[in-house]
Amino acid sequence: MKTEEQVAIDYDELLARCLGNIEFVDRILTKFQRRFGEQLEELEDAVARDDAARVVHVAHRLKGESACVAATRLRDCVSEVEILGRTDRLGDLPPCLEQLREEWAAVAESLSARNWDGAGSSET
Amino acid sequence: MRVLIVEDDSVTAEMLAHALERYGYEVEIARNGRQAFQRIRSGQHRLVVSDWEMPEMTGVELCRQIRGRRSGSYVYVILLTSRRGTRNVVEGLNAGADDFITKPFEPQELCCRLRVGERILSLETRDLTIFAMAKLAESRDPETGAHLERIREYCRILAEHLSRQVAFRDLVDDEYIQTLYLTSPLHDIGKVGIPDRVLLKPGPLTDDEFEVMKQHTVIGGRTLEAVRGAHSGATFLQMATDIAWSHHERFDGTGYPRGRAGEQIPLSARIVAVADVYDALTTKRVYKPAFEHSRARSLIFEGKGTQFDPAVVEAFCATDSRIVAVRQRFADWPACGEPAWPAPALLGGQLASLTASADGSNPA
Repeated sequence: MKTEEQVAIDYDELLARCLGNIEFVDRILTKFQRRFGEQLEELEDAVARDDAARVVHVAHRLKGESACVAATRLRDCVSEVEILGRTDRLGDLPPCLEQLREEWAAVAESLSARNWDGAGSSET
Repeated sequence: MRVLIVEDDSVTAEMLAHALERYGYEVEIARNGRQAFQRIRSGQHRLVVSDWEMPEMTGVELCRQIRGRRSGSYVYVILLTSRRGTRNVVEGLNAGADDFITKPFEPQELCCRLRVGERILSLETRDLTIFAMAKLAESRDPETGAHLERIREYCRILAEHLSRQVAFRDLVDDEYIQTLYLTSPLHDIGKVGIPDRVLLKPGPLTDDEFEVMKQHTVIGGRTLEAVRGAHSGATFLQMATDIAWSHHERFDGTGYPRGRAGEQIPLSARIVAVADVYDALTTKRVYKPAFEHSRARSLIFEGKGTQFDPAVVEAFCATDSRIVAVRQRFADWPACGEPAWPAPALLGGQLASLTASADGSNPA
């Protein structure tokens, strides 16, 4: 059974997508972590400015990146934000954003705790 | 082969690039459709993996721009999208996408789909290149316009008929017919190696000149054999080689260059032999008018079992309404130039007396 950390990011899936190249996985996760943090701020700024188009644009990009690194729950959260932006329901965003921040914290924790052991993921 | 990745999300772009490079592709990344289109117009990219939603120009708009070009080679586009459902698929295909990959991508699937794209691109390249080679050869020996177009149509008709005969149905399937259609225009490619003084001589050939002329079968056959040897995967070249070598052989063994007889002569060459002679008979030459179909048909029939394979002649007689239709369809095509030397593979018989100099006959 998968632990909470493994659910935050499915390292097996990610490693398969990176064709078993652990060094590359590390590099891409470092990039992902830095970029996601920056873009999350951009997303919050767009929400604060009531800029639906920018919300959709940033959320869509975050969704793609999250899916690619196998952060499935995070992807689902960003997808909710994107849908609300597309349907111009920015007023409903605060609870979604809160959930997104929580999930991002879980992913960040998982990333910090990752400890490669062969081809496996961080086990706790 | 090069792949252009069009993706504004740098994490996904880098992961795509990593996977494709591991599979042996050379990868470039464009950050949006506009940037991608500029690179595509440089002619260096024929395989494109594009995100759907991007700033400035979406993947769908990029597809439209690519398909709207007036020139350039075919570009194979795979759209990468998290969009699902028939409506989106239809929109993408209508815009000109060739395939879809859903996000998040799976490297093996992406690689397989790119290999499909490569195969399709190679088909386009192959077909155009073959016909261009044939046209180039023809340009040195200008027959009546559309000779190659007619030849391949005649060959297809004859082969389709043979495919329905018990004796040939195991050999002549759809792939055989398509390969014959593709390669039959190469039958005279060896003429590029014949000197102008012989190839373009307006009058009868001497015996020596005729010996030189006959070498076009050897030159063509050896050239295609060499290409086949260097590219073992190009199996269609075997049929092209057979045709180039043997389309002047006669069923009774008195043809050239090797004097092969009956089934020693590849079927493809036996089919081209009939198509080539019929076309020579029914087009105007400096030494004769274009014969009516009925007269040409009689002459072909006269060669049954001697010059031609009886089964191919029977196929010709059984399909002559379609043959005539092809002849009429290409009747108005312009000639490449003045014909220099006419009817192929006619040794003796009524036709030889009608020819001043002939590809295959030696009236001098």
